[in-house]
Amino acid sequence: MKKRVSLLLACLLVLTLCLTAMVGAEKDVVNTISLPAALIKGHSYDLQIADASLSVNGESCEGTFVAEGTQAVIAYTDGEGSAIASYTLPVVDTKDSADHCAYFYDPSGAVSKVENENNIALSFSQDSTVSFLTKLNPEDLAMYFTAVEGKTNFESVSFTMTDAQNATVKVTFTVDTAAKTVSQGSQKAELEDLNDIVQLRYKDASQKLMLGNDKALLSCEKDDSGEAFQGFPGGVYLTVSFAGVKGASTLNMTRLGNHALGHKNSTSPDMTEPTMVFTSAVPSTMYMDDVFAFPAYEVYDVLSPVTESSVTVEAPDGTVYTESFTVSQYGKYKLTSTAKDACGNQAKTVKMIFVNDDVAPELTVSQMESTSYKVGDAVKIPGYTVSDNLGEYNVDVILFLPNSEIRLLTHDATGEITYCLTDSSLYSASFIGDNSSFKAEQAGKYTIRYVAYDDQHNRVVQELSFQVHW
Amino acid sequence: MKRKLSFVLAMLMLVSCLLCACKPEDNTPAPLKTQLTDKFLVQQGASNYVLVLPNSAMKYETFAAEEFAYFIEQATGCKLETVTETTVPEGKKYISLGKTNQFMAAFPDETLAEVDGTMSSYLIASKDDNIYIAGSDDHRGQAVLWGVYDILTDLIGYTYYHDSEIYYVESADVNLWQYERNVVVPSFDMRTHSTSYIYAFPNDTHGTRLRYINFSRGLEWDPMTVGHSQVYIFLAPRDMDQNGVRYGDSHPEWFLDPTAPSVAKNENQLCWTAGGDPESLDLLQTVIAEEMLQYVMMDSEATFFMLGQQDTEYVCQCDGCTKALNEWGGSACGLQIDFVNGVIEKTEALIDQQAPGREVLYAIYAYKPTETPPVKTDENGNYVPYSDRIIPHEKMRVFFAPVRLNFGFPYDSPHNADAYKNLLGWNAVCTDEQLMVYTYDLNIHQYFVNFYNLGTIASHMQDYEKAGVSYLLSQGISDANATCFDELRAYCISRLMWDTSLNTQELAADFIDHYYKDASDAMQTLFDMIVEQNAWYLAVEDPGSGVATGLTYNTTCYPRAFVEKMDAQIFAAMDAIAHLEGSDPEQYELLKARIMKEYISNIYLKMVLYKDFYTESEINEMEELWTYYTDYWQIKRGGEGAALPDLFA
Ligand SMILES: [Zn+2]
Repeated sequence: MKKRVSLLLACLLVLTLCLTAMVGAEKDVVNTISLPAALIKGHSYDLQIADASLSVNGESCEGTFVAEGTQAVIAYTDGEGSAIASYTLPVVDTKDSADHCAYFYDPSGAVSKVENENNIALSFSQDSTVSFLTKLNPEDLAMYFTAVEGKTNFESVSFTMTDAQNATVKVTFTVDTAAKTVSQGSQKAELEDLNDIVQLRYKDASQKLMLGNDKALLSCEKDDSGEAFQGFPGGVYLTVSFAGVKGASTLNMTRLGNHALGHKNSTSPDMTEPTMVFTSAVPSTMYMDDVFAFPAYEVYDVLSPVTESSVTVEAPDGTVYTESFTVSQYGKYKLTSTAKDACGNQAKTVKMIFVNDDVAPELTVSQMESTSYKVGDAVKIPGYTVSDNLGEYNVDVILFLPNSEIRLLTHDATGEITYCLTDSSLYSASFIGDNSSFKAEQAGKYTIRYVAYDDQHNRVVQELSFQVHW
Repeated sequence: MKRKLSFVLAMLMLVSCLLCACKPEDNTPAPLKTQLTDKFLVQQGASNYVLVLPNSAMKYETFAAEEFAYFIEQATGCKLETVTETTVPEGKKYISLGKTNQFMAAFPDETLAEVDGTMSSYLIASKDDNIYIAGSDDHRGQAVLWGVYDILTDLIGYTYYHDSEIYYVESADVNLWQYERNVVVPSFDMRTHSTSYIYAFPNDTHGTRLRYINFSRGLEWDPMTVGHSQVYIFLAPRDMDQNGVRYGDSHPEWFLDPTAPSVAKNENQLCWTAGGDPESLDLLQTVIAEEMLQYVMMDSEATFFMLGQQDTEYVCQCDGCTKALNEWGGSACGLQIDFVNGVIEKTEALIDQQAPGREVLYAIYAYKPTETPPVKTDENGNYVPYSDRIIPHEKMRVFFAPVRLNFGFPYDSPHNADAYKNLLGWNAVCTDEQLMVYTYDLNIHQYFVNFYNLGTIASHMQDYEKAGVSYLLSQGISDANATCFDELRAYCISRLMWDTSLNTQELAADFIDHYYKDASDAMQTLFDMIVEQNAWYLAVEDPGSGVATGLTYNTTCYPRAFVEKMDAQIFAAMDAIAHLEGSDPEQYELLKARIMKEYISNIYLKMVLYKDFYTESEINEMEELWTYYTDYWQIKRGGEGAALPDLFA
């Protein structure tokens, strides 16, 4: 089981970075390093990258470290100890999640931030950029905002999502305030009134920008550099940029991800639970003797550090597994995932995995007493024996008549038999014989089909045919 | 898309035909047709045959020649010439279509009495290696076209499964067939299966190749009067008489609701006794007859004009009607017949004056309140007409529409006891030509839920054939394209209407083989599962679900495990065609679309019954397929008159 408590970080690279000399492959590594614009005091981070050693403020670091003080110097070295790159990141104090405005990081100070009842108002009078400091869940990333009447003195606002695993992959949605459109690359869609809440919502599974009502606006097939876009496997850092600013402007952000902005219900600094995403597939159906591998996952929380997360599987008999196991029972396995943040908000999801029997019953049908009858004869229905690996079974004996009609003769539910063939509310008296025979009323070829199936509808079929003559 | 069989396979077919012909049992009559292995219609891509038409060929005779030439050319590459009876080139053999000079000369004693007046019966005969097909002078020569399709089946294996799946053997050689004189009479002379898809084509070629006529906007039935026309088209209370007074005011006794301000097909009804006033009744019949004359004069092509009752459960219950009902055995249709008999007499008198020689027929419904026939039983217990007055005029046609029939059971099942009595009664009231049937073969409220009733529908058809029904109209899904093996149903119903003795299971299996090709095993299993599940559900759980409005979906009929197995067959079908994706992408896409059309039904069941069992990404994938393939197949309704369901809201 691969367990990754994710780093709860933030946004884009307004990085103060000093690069040391670098060549070849190292250059690629440096180009793709994706870091938040600043660290949050008290949050723990895992900024390891492949093929490089990490040090923080000169101390070698393996695994996670907790951001303290006012800045962190993040340095990477290669296998020989040569420097690859180093970055100096400010450390921001969000007052244990209470200062919600501090999450919108603006090194230039050109943007003033005010938390209102239902939003965080971003005010500015020149072109500027704010970076959100935690890594966000791209699975369903709401970016809701309202333009303020009389304060929409800017040409556009852009929302840039940067891949938290590769800084070169960015997708930007740009809202044109005059045209009331949103665009990405060469695509463009209409928006309604910007003074109502604009509910932009990016969904990574389909790589679509939607409206809150699930109406698809844009499909992201290419990233900002025109490369084929495959989604964000490990979260995103979000940057909001204002361009063409001509005067005092305000934009109210009302929601980010699953978190409603504003301090409306602020009995606690953070009232919103974490979200979890499985980064490897969880099957909905498994079979006996399969090995169940626990899925990898990422946990995100918009404001607070995640303190706990787990995935467990409960077998039909109640056994609880926390690491891989071999499937040994038929029925429903219950996969439960939970996560909790530092403010005590808890998320829990349950998914059923069905372990279905795929072994059909065994059916043996006796031979016809005769394969040739005359019209009016009673035809004896051959018996059968049936068994299923799980005990319960059904057998339908179905008659196909020469005139194309189909009649159910008997239904057998593990020995409890319904004799339709003697049910005078279904069939005419001239057809009805007894519980094991019927009268041949038509000349031609009859077929009796025996269908045995179990609760999982594993099915086995046998047919017998006979002729009826005048 | 045409299936191309190799020549080797064609030879195998030929050999098996020969084997059949070689071992007749003692009592077997000589075969009516024989393949001549030493003679050829087309040999090495060339032919000594032409098609011969009368100088004044009828519409469908001309089309028959075009169809024959087209399919022979498709199969062999050889283009047959079509000539008229006076321009047959010297030394050519021919296939004669219609009453040509050649036909008259070869069979001078033929009167064609057996096919006279019919739409579909045709005479076929060979002489001196020429083949002759001839039908009646009526109905624009359709019978000759059906004869051509039949001999195309003999010659090149032609089978019309669907407009996208026409089968024939491709070969440079086509053996000639020898036909003994025979009159081919189909089970029903006139046939319609009214699905949206069949009549979605402006030129109706698809319907024609299925051997159907178009009921509501074709040439045989006058489109103005067709359907529920008595009040809706002929005479409404708001219509004005010569003095500018509403008929509802001047003759309130003519209507169930004389005050009705509007007319709709499903409101009101004429009073068929005019309140019991003979003088008023005579005037009412005259007014309608004059109207009818107008429609007859306006539509010079049509044979059938309808005087269909309104589409309601109600008939007039005034004193006049109540008294007449008591006198005539309680059948509202007895009143209607007596009334319409009078209208027909008056109309015919008018036609004699204004369009002498014009032959038309008049159809009424026996439907909902008029479904019960006016009969009594004789001393032997057989049904006989209740009185002479309710014997339909010879030019009347009665459209028996058993809308409450249980399509899951045969007519002799207790579930259909009332409908069966009605059918037998109408058989006693009508002559063979007079009885027509309007039936249904759809799941009216649930277009996406699979069901199976083709077997019992076949048995119903056999009972209709025994009752002498001349026209069978089956209403399928007529307001949208649909999934649930709709193409298979259309094919089977078309074949059964021509010959009710065919076996539906065999027809279905053959269709699946040709339509799903590499995926046919999986699709056959899916089809079998549906057949079996329906047989069980109908007999054990809900016999009432066999009526057209009673079919439903629920977790009993479609348990989750069963739906998963339906899915498994779809996935197996996709696996079976996967190898075509690279080698024959066009074929792959066609087969995939056909398979996915059936998968739409599974998606429907999964979303309606088991949505909680699926992950968001699984649901997203289903939504994409649903959206794409409902659009691809132009599937726009979830039930009669109902919008496409929004499963993913
Ligand atoms: Zn009346």
